[in-house]
Amino acid sequence: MRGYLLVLGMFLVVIAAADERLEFTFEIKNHLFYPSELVVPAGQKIKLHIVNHDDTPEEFDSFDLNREKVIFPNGSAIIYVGPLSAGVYEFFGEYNPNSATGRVIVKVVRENYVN
Amino acid sequence: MLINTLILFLREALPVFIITTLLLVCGVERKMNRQSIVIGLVLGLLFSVLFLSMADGLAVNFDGAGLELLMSSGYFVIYFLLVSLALIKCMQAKRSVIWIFCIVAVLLITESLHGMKFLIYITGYWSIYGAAPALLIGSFLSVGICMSLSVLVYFSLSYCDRNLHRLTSTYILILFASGQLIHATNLLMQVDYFPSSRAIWDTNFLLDESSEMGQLFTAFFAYDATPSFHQLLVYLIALCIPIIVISFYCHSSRLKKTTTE
Repeated sequence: MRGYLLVLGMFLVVIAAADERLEFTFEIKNHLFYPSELVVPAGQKIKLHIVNHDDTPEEFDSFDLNREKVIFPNGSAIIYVGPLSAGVYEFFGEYNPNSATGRVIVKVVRENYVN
Repeated sequence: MLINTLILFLREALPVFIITTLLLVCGVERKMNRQSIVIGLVLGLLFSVLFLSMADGLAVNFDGAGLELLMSSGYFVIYFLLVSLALIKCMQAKRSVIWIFCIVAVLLITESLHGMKFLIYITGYWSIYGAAPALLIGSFLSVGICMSLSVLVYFSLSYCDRNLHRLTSTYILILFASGQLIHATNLLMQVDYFPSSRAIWDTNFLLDESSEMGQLFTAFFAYDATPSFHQLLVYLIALCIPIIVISFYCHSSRLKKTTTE
């Protein structure tokens, strides 16, 4: 019984740790990403919250980040990316690739990262 | 919008055309093979419409991971069904019912997963003024490209099966099946249900994943320029186990034949 409780406790700690991840928000308005550039720390898993304010669906797509997520009209979605090495990672809205573009800039931060 | 529709349709339809072609080649000597493919494709179309109507609701389940969990489960099931088909083919087992079931299920799931994504785009943008002709023309052009490619793959694989090795198409089927697990793990990593680590290599300088050839390779073998260690591990295990089983079976049946002779 104690063993089960210990495993359950560890599982809850893992979930709690996952929730403490750095979170960033993108908004989609008129087929454009706001902000279109985001600076994030290297070597950390981050949570991206994408909110679509348009009346049409959009798909967040990035070959560099290996992510593909449909965001329904006036809906939102969460995706996790990383840990990433320092560099620039392009992304785009697959349904409007000419207007909806942006990039995630990953930088090495020594300590006390502030967004 | 025309070019975008063309690209989107190609990305979603190509895997369906490839798997249909592979199943046609692999089951060429089987009864009811073509009929089961047609049934699978028709059911797949119906299910993709059903899936589309539920997608919005599914997406908000499991803290927004509902769609990813469902789709990755679909990819896992496709892998197991395709490996079963490959094993039945190599063992030359006369299990028609299982064969038909696997074919119908594979096509139903594959078409539902990919069809749903394309239908989200079509239904979302259809009402925009002047978009309908571009959506229709783009889709028709893409069907033409997919069909041409399928014909090329069909005759190339049939030739290889006859002249190179009788199991060439079966090995390609396993390669395609293992690739489905890369799609599944990508989706699971996206919602934090699968461990993700830094990419172990980056082959974008050799073959850019976003290029036309890169996307073709992605549709065929789930080419990923920046895989993580865990993904590579899953892929290798998924690829090696059925190949080892088939090679072992072929070797032992050859031994049996020579001893009886």
